[in-house]
Amino acid sequence: MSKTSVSQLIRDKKIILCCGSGGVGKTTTSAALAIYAAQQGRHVAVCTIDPARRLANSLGLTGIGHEAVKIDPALYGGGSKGSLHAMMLEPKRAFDMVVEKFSPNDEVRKRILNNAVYTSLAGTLAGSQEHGAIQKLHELDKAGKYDLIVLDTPPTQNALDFLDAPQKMVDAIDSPAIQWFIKSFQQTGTFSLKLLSISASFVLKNIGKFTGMGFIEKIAEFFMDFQHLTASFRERADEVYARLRSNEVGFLIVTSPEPMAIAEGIYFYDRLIESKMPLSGFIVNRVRGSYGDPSMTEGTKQVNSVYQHLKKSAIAQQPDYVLQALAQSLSHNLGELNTLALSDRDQLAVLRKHIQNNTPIIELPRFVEDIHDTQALRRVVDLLSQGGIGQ
Amino acid sequence: LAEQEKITEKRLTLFLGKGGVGKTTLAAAWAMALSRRNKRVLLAQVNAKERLTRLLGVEKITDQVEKVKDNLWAVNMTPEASLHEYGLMVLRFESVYKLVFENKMSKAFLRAVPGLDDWTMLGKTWFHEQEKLKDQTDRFDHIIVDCPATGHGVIFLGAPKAVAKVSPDGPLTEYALKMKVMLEDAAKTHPVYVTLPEDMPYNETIELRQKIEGEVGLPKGRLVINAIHPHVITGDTAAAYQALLHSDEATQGMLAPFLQAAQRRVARRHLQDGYIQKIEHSFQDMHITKTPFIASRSFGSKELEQIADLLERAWIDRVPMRRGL
Repeated sequence: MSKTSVSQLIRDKKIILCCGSGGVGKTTTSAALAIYAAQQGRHVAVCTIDPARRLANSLGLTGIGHEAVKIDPALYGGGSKGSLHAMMLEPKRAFDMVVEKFSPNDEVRKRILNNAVYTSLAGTLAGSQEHGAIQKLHELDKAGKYDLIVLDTPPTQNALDFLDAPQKMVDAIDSPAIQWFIKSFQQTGTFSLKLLSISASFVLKNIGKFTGMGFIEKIAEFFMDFQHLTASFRERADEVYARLRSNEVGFLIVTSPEPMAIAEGIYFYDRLIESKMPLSGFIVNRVRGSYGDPSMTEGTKQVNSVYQHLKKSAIAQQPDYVLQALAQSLSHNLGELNTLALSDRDQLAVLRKHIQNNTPIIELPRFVEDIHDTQALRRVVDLLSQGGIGQ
Repeated sequence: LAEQEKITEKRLTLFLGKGGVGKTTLAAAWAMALSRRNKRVLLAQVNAKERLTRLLGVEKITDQVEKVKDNLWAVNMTPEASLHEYGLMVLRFESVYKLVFENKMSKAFLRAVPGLDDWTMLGKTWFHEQEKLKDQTDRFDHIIVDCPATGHGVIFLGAPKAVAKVSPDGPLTEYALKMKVMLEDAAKTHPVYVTLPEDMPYNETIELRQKIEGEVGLPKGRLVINAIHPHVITGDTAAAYQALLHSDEATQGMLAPFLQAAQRRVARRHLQDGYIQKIEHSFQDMHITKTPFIASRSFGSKELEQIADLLERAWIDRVPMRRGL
C-alpha cells in the first residue's frame, strides 16, 4: 500500500473495519489507524469487542467501557483539530444491550435475561458478539458525532464469522425446525407429544431420551422468547450490511506472516470479494526483516569470513578462542534471523500470488516488543503514515 | 510442587493459552514424548484448523480416532462426529439414530442448541478417558487435548457446569456431572498453560488461570514459557562484543549487519527476561518449564522432534533444563 492509500483511507472513509483471525494484532492496528486519523484532524471513534482488554492495553488505559471515552490528545500526539474516542465492549454485556433494545416488552426482556439457557450459555450462542458489534456500529454511525468509526471486529476462531454468524443465528431460530419445535411446546406450556404427528413425536421423544425432557423444555422456553427478537435482529443486520457495501466503508484484512494467518487472510479475501464488500487492502503485521545479504542464512558458511574480519577489527587483540566464539555466534544469529525473514517473504509471496494485483498490502515490522503502550503504538502510527515498510 | 511434578501420572493433560503461543506444538510434542516411552497416547484437537498433519509428518487426521504412529492416536473432534458417537451410544442402533438425528428438523434443532457442541466434544474426551480394551485395561494411557484459545477454552471446559445449571436432570446433565468430576480430579487432570514472555500473553495467562481454576474448577497445573530467544552473547564474548559495538564496525563494513542482528536479538532476549521474571513471580506456586524459540523457514516435524526431546528430558526424566533458558 502506498503512502497515499493509507492517508486516503483515513481521510475518505466513514467506517473502517479491521477483520482477521485472532492473535494477529487486529486491535493494535485499529488503534493505530484511529490515532493516525485523529492526528490528521478527524473526529474518530474506535470500538472493539474484546474479552482481553487489548484496546485498553494498546491505548495505555484501563477501564474503557460501553460509553465512548475521550482519549487525551497528549497521549497519542493529537492536535487541537481532531479527537479520539474509544470504547471497548464486553461481549456478554454488549449482547444484553441488544436484547434489551429489541425486546417487545419488559416481560419478554426479563424472561430472556433471566433464562438459565441465556445466562449460562449466551457466550456460546454463535453470533452474539457479532450482533453486539453490529448494533454498536449502527448506533455510532446514526449518531453522526464522528467523521470516522474504526471497528475492530470480534475475535473469532474463524475470520468469516463476522459476515456469517449474525445471519446464521437468526436463520437458525426462524428455521422451520425451531418454529415447529416452539409450536409443539407452546400449546400447553409443556411438550404435548399428542399434538404432533407420529413421526414428529417419535423424533422428539428420542431427542428427549438423548438430552432429557427438562433440558428440551428450557431450550424451548428460550427460543420461544427469543423469536420475538429475530425480526428486529434481521432488519438491523440487513441495514448494517447494506451500509457496509457503500464506498464510504473500507474493509482491511489484518494478518501476520504465519502460514495459518495467511491462509485465513486469503480465505477472508475470497469471501469479501464474493459478498461484494469494499476491500481496502491488507495489513500484514510482524514482518521480520533481514540483515545484510538476505541470502545469508543458517545454511551458508560465513563463520570464517566473519572471523577474518574480526581479526582485522578493533578487537583483534582479543584471544583467538573469543574471536572464534564470537564469529560463530554472530554468524549463527544472523543466519537464523535471515531464515525467519525468508519464511515471511515466502508467506507474503503466497498472499500476493492469490490476490488481485492492485490490492494494496501494507507491511508492518515485527517490533522488538509486543505493542502495548502508547509510545510503541505511535511508532506503528508513524509507519502507517509512511505506508509501512519497504516492499 | 511435589504433586504437580508427576505429570506422567496424569491421564488427561489439557493445553491452554492465548492463540499463537504454541499450544498445538507443545501438545503434539508431549504426545510424541509419551508415545516414545511406550505409552498409548491419544492426541485430541477441538474442531481445529488442520495443521497437526504437517507437524507430525503424517498423512491425515480426521474426526475419527486413528493410529498415526506407534503408540500414538490422533483425532480432530468435531461436534457432528462426536454427536453421532454419543447418539449411537444412547440409541444403540444406527437405523434409529438416522431416523432421529439425520432428519432436517433434528439437525437444525441440535445445531441451534447453545453449548451443545462443546458438551459433545468434551463428552468424547470423557468417553475416551473411560474407554477400556477387551482385557479391561485402559485403551489410552494418556489423553492430550489441544484446547481452543483463551475465551473459547474456558467456555469449552465450562460446558458441563453450564449444562448442569440449565437443567437439573436428564442424561445430558448426568454425563455433564461425570465430565465435571473428571475435570476436577487432580489425580487425573492436569492443565498446562502455555504463554510467551511478552506483555499481552502474560496478562492473559493470569486471567486465564483465574477463570480455569475459579470458574471452571480445574486443579492446579503447570506453566510453559515458550519461544525464549537464545543468548547470542555469553560471558566469554561479552567484552569483545561491547567493544565492537563502540567501534566503526557497528555501523559500516562487513560486520555491521552481523552486529545489528545481534543487537536485535540481545534486546529481544533482554525484554523477554523481564517478562520471564514477572511470570515466575506471578506463578511461583506452579511448576514452570521454559522452551526455546526455534528458528526455521517452515516449522514441521523436525522442529517438533526437538521440542519432544526437550519435554521428554524435562517431564519424564526430570533432568534440569539446560542453562541459558
